[in-house]
Amino acid sequence: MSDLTLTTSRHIKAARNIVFDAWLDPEMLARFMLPGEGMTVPSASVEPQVGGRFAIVMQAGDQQIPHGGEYKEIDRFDRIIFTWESPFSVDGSTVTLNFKDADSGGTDLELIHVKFADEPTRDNHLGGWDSILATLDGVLS
Amino acid sequence: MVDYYSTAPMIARMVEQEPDTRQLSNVLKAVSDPTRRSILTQLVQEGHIRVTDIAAYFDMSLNSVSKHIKVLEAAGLVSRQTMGRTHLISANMEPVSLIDEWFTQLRSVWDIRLEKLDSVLTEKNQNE
Repeated sequence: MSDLTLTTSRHIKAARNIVFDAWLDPEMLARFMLPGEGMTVPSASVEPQVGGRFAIVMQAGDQQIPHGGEYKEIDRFDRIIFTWESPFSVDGSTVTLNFKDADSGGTDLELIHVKFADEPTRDNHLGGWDSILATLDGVLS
Repeated sequence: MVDYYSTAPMIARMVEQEPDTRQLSNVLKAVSDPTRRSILTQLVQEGHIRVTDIAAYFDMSLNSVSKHIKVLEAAGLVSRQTMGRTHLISANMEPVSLIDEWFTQLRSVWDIRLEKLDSVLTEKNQNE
């Protein structure tokens, strides 16, 4: 597969539903979806449903850069998948968030960011694989 | 879709705006040389050392040592004192924190965001 995957995770001392809902709350997004150190998010908006879009404006100095994406999957309180359009990822990318209760309390949050090296790979990923896997899932269960 | 090429000037400006950028470059340049690293190690371990003693220890000409010391001074890693005709130098480790800070910030933007989410939610917990 010619994609570029980054996986990271963090344990957060907060209940899973709170961590989950933070990702669909525009006020919370404006507080943590920082593009980098020392930058700000002057505005964020969310349509919290599958097919809905979110938009975040990031600001560095006097320059504003819009980011956005579409929600592909929202499973309360287990998983969110959204596409991520940013200036650094010309062909777009997909972010998957997996939320689990941590044994020690709080939430284990896993983030998988898949970038696409080119359009065909992206289209396969977003379209083809999803339906192939869904069919496979149906066959196996 | 976001215009990729229009953001290049913003990114260049982000790097310029870091006030410590030039000093960080000077520090990294200073420690990029193994002889200078050895000199710095000696200074940190021994405290004040005479410039002439450094030259003797490293079996270098006074001229060569002076060149290295100038680079270390430009980075703020070394300071000079004169006591009569004796020139002493000592190490100043503060600029090393610039390297630490840079390395700490050198992580994925998603790690930065998850860390921020963590602190926002944790402080929220404390306030409720």
